Amino acid sequence: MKKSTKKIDYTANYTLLQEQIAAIENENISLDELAEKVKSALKLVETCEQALRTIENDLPKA
Amino acid sequence: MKKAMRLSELLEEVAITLEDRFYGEAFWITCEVTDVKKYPDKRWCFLKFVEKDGAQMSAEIKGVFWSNSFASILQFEKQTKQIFASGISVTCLVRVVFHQRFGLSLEVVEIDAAYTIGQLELERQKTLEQLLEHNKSIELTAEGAYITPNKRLPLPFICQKIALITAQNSDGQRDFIQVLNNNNYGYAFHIELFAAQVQGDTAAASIEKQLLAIAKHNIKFDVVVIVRGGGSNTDFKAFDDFHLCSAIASFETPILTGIGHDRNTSIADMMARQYKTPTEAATFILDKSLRFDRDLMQAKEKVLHLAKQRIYYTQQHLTQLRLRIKNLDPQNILKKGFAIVRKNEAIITSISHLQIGDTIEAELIDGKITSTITQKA
Repeated sequence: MKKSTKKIDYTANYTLLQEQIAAIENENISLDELAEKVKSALKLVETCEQALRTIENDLPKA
Repeated sequence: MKKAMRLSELLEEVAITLEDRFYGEAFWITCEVTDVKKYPDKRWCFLKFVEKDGAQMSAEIKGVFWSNSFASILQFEKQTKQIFASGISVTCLVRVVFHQRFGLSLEVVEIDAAYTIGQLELERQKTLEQLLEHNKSIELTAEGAYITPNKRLPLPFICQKIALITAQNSDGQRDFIQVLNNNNYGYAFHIELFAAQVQGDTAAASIEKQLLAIAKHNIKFDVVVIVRGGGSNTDFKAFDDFHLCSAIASFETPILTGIGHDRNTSIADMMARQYKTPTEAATFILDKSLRFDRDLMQAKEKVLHLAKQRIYYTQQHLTQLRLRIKNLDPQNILKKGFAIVRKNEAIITSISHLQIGDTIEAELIDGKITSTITQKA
């Protein structure tokens, strides 16, 4: 499968991540929902890390 | 018929009379010189000594330097840094001579350079006073420096488009261009020559005319550089000219001077940014590019460093978030031996929701079990 060359938007993903964390930390969240949110939050962390690596690789070499 | 004498007889009488009165005597006179014609190969110089009463000529006589006094002209030029030319005021030691064919003249024995130096300084002071009077935007600081509108103009970070005013094919032009065009850093400069006379009576007007041409030029130059130098030329009077200096002071593009003299700074230098020689002016421009380049490199390094630092801290932050999320993951809680209890698929958090005989489902890390309540404590 061809690797996607689309640039990942760090800020957008990080905003989503913050929302997920807020939801996870909400005491009223059901356990089932919690499991889903945890999964998607961890995915978002990975996406943000990937975006960060792309940014780092894009930096000009000194 | 009237008795007449021959012209030569009369003139001989005049010669004798003058000789009786002036023979062996020399006189110091102070006046202006005009119509100066030098013959360096013969070591002669012919001129006129004049005295003016306002605009009116009140006295005038021919003058001459013969080979025995010609050296005093060279000495004068060396001491005053001023070419012995029409329009200057001098004090000279002269003898009165009369020749039946060439008439009355003054033969110069020596020139008093000190007088001319003083006169030049007086003229300079007068010009400076006039400049302050006519240009209210020129300020004289307590330290004696002149701050002009031109000096107040900021210099661009790099000066690449340069209007050069100097004499065509002069040493000043060569020195200036050589420094910039043969630089070791590969910088390119656009230097446009505005050829002008930089010495003699018409020099000031010639330079001023070129300033006007630069102001009207379709290229907006970063800087104007006025240079002269090299050789033994010593005439810098043009650079003390009121009109030229006034034009320099108010010129709207920064001006650098590299006039190359070792006497007092010229007034043109005071009105602009002064460098001693054409080479120094060019070196300043080159160094400016170099500094800009270095600053740019440093800025790039700083930006990269900051970006990397930011990425590092962001990565650390994400790692902490991952840990925080994992700690809230129910699976991780189950791993520690806890179980999720459900009744009819609803999570039970209190025994008050259960009755003896109810069937419940307990979810553990590796599977689910179904149990019946037999006792409540």
